[in-house]
Amino acid sequence: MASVRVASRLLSKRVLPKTKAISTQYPVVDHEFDAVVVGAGGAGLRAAFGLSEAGFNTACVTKLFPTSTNVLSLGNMEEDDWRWHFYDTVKGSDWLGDQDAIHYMTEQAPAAVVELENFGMPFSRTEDGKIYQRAFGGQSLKFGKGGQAHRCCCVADRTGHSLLHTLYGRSLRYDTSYFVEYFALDLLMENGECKGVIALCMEDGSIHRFRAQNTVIATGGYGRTYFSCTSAHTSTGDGNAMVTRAGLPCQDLEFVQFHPTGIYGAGCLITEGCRGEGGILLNSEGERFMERYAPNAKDLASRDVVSRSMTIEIREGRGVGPEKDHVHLQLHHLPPQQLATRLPGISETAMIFAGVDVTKEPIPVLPTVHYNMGGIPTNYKGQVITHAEGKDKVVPGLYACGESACASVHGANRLGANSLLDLVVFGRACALTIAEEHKPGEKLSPLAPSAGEESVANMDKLRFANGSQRTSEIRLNMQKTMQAHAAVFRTGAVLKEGCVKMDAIYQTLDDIKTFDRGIVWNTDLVESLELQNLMLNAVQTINSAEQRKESRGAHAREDFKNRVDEYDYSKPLQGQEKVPYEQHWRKHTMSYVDPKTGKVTLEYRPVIDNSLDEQECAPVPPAIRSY
Amino acid sequence: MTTSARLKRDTQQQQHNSCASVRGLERKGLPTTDMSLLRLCAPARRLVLSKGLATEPNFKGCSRAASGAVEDKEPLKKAKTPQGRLDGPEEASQSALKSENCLFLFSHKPNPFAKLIAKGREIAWSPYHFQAKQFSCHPAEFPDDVNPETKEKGGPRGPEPTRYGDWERKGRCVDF
Repeated sequence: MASVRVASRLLSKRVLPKTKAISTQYPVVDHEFDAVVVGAGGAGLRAAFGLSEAGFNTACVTKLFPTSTNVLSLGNMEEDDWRWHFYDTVKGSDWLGDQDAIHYMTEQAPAAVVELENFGMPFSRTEDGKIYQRAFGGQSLKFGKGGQAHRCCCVADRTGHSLLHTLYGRSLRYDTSYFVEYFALDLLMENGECKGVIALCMEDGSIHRFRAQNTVIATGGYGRTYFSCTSAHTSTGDGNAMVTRAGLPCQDLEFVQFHPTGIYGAGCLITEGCRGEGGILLNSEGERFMERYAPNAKDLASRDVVSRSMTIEIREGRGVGPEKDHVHLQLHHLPPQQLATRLPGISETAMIFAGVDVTKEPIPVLPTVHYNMGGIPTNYKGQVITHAEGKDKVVPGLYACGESACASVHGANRLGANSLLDLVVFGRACALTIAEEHKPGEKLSPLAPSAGEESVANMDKLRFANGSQRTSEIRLNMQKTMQAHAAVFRTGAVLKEGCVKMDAIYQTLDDIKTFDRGIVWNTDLVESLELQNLMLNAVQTINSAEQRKESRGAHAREDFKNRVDEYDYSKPLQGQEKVPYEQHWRKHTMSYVDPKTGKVTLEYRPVIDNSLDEQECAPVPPAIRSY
Repeated sequence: MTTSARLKRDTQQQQHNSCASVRGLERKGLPTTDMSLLRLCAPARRLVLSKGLATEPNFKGCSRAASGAVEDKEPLKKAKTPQGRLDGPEEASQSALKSENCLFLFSHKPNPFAKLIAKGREIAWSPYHFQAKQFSCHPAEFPDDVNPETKEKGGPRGPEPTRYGDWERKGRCVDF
């Protein structure tokens, strides 16, 4: 049976291009699969493997080799009292998370961990041989009243790495077809239904159309829209952009998580322990500026206060460096022996990533992006949805999981230790949903022979672009604008100015200049395609932030410092009148972009406040979030 | 590796060595121009290649001992990679890891090796040149890989990563 399957796959896969309808210059190869997964990070691999295991003929299209994708996190999954974890996550999301999706994720968490462990992930153990769990910030017991919870599991120091290797190994066992170094250009949509993906083979410049009943997007976040981010250079929001170009919305893109001390240039994060052990932040005047912003806590103030203070100093011209765009973190006033014992390895990190000797010079730091809460809107099963006439509507054939999706479990702020859990649970959920609703070997619906020609035309245009601004220049402009206007410090005037600037930068895309006219490994072309994707993400982010006139979670505004909910939850609800939906902000942003003009349209969608089963898990009513 | 993945890999490898493969194809009398034709020919070429490999074993592989355990006939050779600017000599770093000089205490007691570390630091931290000989920043492994304080087996080396509220490793915050 297996050999027949393999043989028929070999035959059906390589179909010679009979039609020249798409392009005369590029050879087009059509593939047919039961399911296509775009992206081979944690979520993509989990989905691909789950689908292959269920018997679906699966292709995984990825622009990088699977185990090189940047999953920086360490696996932190919970094992017991999932309802307390549910509460922690709902509270962390500042009540913007969809409680049915959070219920699903926290309830499935133990099963997901055990599954991974059975696949061979070597979690650390206690003496009894059970998985060792440690405490981590934000995790509490008994709905916040029982003190610190110990839920974090890990694999020594390399959980994310280990996860990728485990999943990749398993997926190979189930005959997943990998198309490595294929850049996915666009979704093949027909009548609002997703029928596959069109991709560019970077190696030889051929176009490949992957026709499939089910497409799963797992392309990751878009950290590279900002000047300082921890993400890889390849974190360019390709999935979000593909969905936008297909006319579908993206959700909650304005919620971006920042860390105060990321190394300037490299983007690696310096631990808070540096400030905890006595490190101080200095501006260009050598002043310990945190004393002004937080007189008591000083440098040990909470992350968002520190990030905002740093940004204000830079904005007011007291930044350091030739462009005055960062600040200094000084550690050399501390005894070197203390540094070596309390923070082993910091000298190496500082030397490698910043080129400084911590015992003599300060480390250049600035607030750095490390996670995107927003993304492609899905329901708790992983199906992509749009919102029309007051109801959620599923887009047939399209699924999303991982950082690129917005289920939304993280809401306005991701709780530490939920990212990898999100990947694994929703990657699995997509595979399960597809297995429930479809069978392997289902006949594919017909696709127009010219499907995907706009994508090829766009790629062709970029390949021969001869404007006046290089890709790298436009990209740097965008990154600096986003860092200056849509970062931690957000206020009406700054955001509006940013929107205008971003609109102008979007228009300069028409004036782009590329140099490499070749077709084999044309990285100039791929970077330009990625820039187009980044731009779509950036304009949605800044416009959504400008419109949202409140502070919630990671989106903090100086001019609107409070949350604006349907009731004022800081006072008793008795006697309060419910604020109408149009006037409060406890709702998801759905953003659309017209790719030709760069104009952003915003709509809104209500938050799902009920869990999957009220008996099993009571939903948490909104309250003021304080820790 | 699956058939399809192998097929893909072989096709890719062939296209990488395009000159050689074109010449090879010409030798075998197969057409060389059309890329898609190249892909169709791939299965045929792969068979030819693999037959070639079978007749000329140039790797020894493993043998099975009588007890069923697998033994390597030849020890695996380590690839020779170029030395980076910040790399210490390999043997030195290995010995440094094992030596007592870099024992890191994971409690806040004074470090009896402070003088040694300080001396090593002076030598080690000259700009752009890390000598792993005297000073290594890699935390030593726990004996038997069990953390003596928390009894965690297979956990992260060195001080407790979550002691500052985030996950700290070598001064970097790994955020997730």
